[in-house]
Amino acid sequence: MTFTEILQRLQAAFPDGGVEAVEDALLDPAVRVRADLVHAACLFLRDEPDLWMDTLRVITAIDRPPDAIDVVYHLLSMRHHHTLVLKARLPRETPAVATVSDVWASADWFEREQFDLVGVDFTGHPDLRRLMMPVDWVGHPLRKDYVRPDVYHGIPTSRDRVVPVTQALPPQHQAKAGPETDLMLLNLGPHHPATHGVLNFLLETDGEIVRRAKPDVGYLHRGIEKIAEMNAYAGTMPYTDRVDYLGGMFTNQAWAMACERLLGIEVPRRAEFCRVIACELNRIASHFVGTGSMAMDLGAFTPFIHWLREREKINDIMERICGARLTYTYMRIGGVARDIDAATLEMISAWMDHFEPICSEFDRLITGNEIFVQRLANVATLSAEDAISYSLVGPNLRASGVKWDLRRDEPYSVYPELEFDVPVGLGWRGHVGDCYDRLIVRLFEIRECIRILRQAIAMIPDGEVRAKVPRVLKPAANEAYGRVEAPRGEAGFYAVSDGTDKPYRVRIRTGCFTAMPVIDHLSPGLLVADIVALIGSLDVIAPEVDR
Amino acid sequence: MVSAVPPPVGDPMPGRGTGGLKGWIANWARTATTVLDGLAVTMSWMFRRPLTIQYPDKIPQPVQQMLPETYRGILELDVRLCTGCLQCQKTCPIGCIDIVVEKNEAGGRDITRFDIDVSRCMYCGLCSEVCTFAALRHSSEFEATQPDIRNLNLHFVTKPVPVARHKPGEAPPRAPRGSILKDVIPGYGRRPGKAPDGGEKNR
Amino acid sequence: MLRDVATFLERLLGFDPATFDYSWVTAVVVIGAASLLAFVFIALFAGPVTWWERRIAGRIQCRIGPNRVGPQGVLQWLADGIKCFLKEDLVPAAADQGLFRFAPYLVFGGYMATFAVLPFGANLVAADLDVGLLYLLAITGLVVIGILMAGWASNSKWALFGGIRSAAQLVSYEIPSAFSLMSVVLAAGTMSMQGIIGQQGAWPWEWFVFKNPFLFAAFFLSLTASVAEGNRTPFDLPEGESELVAGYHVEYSGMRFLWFMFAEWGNLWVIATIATVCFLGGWQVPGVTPAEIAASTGLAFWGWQALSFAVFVAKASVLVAFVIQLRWTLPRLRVDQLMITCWKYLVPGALLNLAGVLVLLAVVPDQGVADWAIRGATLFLGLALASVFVWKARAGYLADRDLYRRMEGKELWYPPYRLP
Repeated sequence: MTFTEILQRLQAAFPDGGVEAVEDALLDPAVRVRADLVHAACLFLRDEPDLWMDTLRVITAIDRPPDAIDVVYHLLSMRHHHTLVLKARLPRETPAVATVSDVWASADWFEREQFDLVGVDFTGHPDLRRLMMPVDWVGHPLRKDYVRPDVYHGIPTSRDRVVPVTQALPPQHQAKAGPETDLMLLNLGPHHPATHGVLNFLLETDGEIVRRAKPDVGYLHRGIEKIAEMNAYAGTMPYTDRVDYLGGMFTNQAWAMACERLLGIEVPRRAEFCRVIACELNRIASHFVGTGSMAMDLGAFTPFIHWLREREKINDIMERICGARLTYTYMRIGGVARDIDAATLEMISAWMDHFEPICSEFDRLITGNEIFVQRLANVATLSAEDAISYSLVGPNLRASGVKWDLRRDEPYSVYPELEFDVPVGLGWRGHVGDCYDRLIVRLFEIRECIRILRQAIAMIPDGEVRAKVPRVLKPAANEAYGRVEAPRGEAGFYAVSDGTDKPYRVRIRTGCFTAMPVIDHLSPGLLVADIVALIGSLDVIAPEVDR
Repeated sequence: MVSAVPPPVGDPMPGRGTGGLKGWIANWARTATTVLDGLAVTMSWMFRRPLTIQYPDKIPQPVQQMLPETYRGILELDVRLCTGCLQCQKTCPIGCIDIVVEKNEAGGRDITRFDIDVSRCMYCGLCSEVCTFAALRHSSEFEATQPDIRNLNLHFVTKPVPVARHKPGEAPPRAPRGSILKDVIPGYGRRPGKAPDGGEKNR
Repeated sequence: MLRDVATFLERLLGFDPATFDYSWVTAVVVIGAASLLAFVFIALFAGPVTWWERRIAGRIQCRIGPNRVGPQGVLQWLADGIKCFLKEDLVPAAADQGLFRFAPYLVFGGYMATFAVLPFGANLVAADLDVGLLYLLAITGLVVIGILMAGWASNSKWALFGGIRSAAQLVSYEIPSAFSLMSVVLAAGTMSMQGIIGQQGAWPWEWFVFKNPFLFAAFFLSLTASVAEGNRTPFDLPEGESELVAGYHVEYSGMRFLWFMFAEWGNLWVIATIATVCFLGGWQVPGVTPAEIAASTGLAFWGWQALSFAVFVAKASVLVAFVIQLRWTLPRLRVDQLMITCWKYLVPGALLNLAGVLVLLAVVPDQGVADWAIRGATLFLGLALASVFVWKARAGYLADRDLYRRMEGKELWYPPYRLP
């Protein structure tokens, strides 16, 4: 369904003039909805059979001083393959809009984050607390008039501002005497081997049985969205590596794609192939860590080391392609930093030849192991409906049986020319959407990546790898959403420009962020060891959650 | 590619729901065979030679020499080539490059300060990309451990140097990669020496 | 005054220098010396196996492993021990001080006590009890108490989880372990360790493991149960470093931590020793009967002692290596699966097995034709199993070799997996 048709449907449903198209010629045409109609409009969009906006991609709040705050909802219909941008303008003094967390489960955390960072009050939200910043933080960092405090509880907030630490830290999270229960509170994290970074889960356990696992994030919040507002478009590129340290190529590409859309730049064909090759190599490397560390979480150390050994070789290739092993900064707006030479392509082919038997060896070693299967099969089964409602993306969504891959369904780059399958969870050892499916989908994706790489290496054309781009980028006021299929699902950058050389607002949507509330949802009834398996199977990367 | 993973099983709850003697025996058998599979793999690895190298002392050649040309190590400035255009300073997303260009008595311009705070540098390579004269490039050096973080603010210019004036084609050849850092990094080269046997012993 | 004190002491202690019986002082000295000797002996067993485990793990993971301290790193365990001695001994402020400090010794003591009945050679056994096997099964209960104590006293929820898991696990796995060892007792007709060895021969077809198929199965059942009792992967739930961080010893550091590690790796030898004694013919040297060794004197006697010790260590080492390899191959079970494995699989399996042994022992006369036929068949079964294993290992290995040959002409930037 096209944008105009959706608009007409909406206007027919809300005839009092509360729904109108945003006048500016935006790259993604948007609908502006009166603030009090947001909830009704969202429900309507979700439930109408021919609209069926089943997925909430991201909620963004944009501070527009002096008098307004925009709340932007990026919606997607997986069934009908259409998207919509929904906007609501709120008064800046009292920014309040009804929550949509009862429409899409993922809105819960999106709204908490925007409340925390921009200060929008989502009325009716069940648990509107700060998400990223500490509970006693003052102010909302993504407001345009925000001033960073020099000190937080005696800790200087910058290396330049040396403040002597004299003040004792106040007791912050003292255990409050709650109602008498038989449940034991257990902190899984922030420093726990299974949390893959600095993450905290507050478990309420009854013996070993978990009644609830509440994720507590924000330990790795570096404010990349804020940093991007202070940096030039090209200068934000290195920071996007740090969003997802295992999939730097993808966040690179998503940011490049958002900026290229803003600037209307055509990427040369060879550069697109370079991007595909680099990305697919990166995807393999990321799945190595994802599946390997999952095995390690379940006590099998050796498969992890074997995968890391292969990943080292990908790192060697990456070093030749872009000069770094982890923080690639390979993409540039309008192309890639440097060409992939023939020798490197030869290296990739050689590595793939070498890798194939190792893949099956890994299966013999661990994937088929009965203990491993029993640890994962039928554990934390997530239905397709829930997965969509929680806006799960990537392998986690596909494991629940939803065949949705941005490379196939919203094609970008040269992926339409390449032939590959999208592996989905079929209940390989248990029910569809259990931990084992989430593992096996990743393992099959590694094989699909090899297929894509072989084709891409055969097809790569000659030519330039960088479009002619002015040195200082000043896109006109507009907004664009660039997204790619990253190893942990959709990596999306929503860039809002205002005609200056710096983005006005950048919103990063990552796969892991939406995967976190799922842990809360799935945890009741699991054992402590299952929580570890669940975190591992969702392939949670803490910096991607916090950004 | 041959996969050792069998296709999906029809039984939604294998092993758990299967009751009866048949399931009991099947579970025994499946566990035994898959454990044997795994043991066979690990056993075969016991007879292969290790792949790791013993960094830093028992390696055949310094890691710096093994790295590809494209490697983005610590930044290195050949000041003879620098025209003082400040493009790198403007491009750096963090602002870890600090350049001061002053007029000298002769009427020309001198670079009086060119500091790169390597402890902040995130090795993105944007600055070396905008450097038209290849004055600023990444070396393949990565070992610069210091007792004090302030030592990592590298001073590439210690006394005023006149800015370079040459056309792109006529520039003098750049100093070899990594040769400049020797004088700039405090205590450069005080890393553990090579193994006496040249690092061949790797068992 | 002074006299009053002396009288008081005399009354209190009954101390009279002239009539005092000094034998208990001698006893204390002798026991102390013996304990020290035993400790050194155990240290020499448990220590190097930590190095060995890490080397094997390294090989499996295509790493090198510790190779710096001593030739090929054999003294790594000493370096680790000294390091642990020098570390600060931290006791959490909220811990139960007394229990926390005492628990490691209890664990270590429980493990050390098992060495009293383990026969390492023809005469290398501290006490050949008539109820040796029973003693072994009973004394390991001390370890449970120690671990539970450590878990509780640490005042950490992770440690508590570990302690509780351990108690449930060790108590449960005692049962299949005892059942499968009971079949050996039935076959041997004695519980004395030396007696069990004496009932077997030196050659493989004389071992209990190949006596009949049920005893063959009992060997694996007993090994599995012992691995579980020793808290080794795949049954290392009390520690479970990726779930419980380190389980019951999460709060321990320095020397106290070392006691736990000592017990854990020493336990490897206990596992291997029990299996060797009960199923693999113990220290028996081929070609010599125990009676001949006992009858020998002088240099020959000591020679036989050394030889039998070497035979024993060789057999046990293979088992230790096997358990180590298991650890680096398998993932960990979940706590409910651990119980399922025990109560639904191992216990009924061991019981059935015991019944089978009983029937065969009752029906088949010892050393008869049928007995030798069964022994032959079982040996064949074992060889077949070993061949399958070797074949599987070789298949994976050959796949890589072919690959390597395929890659031979190509320029690789990394050292390929060289074959031995």
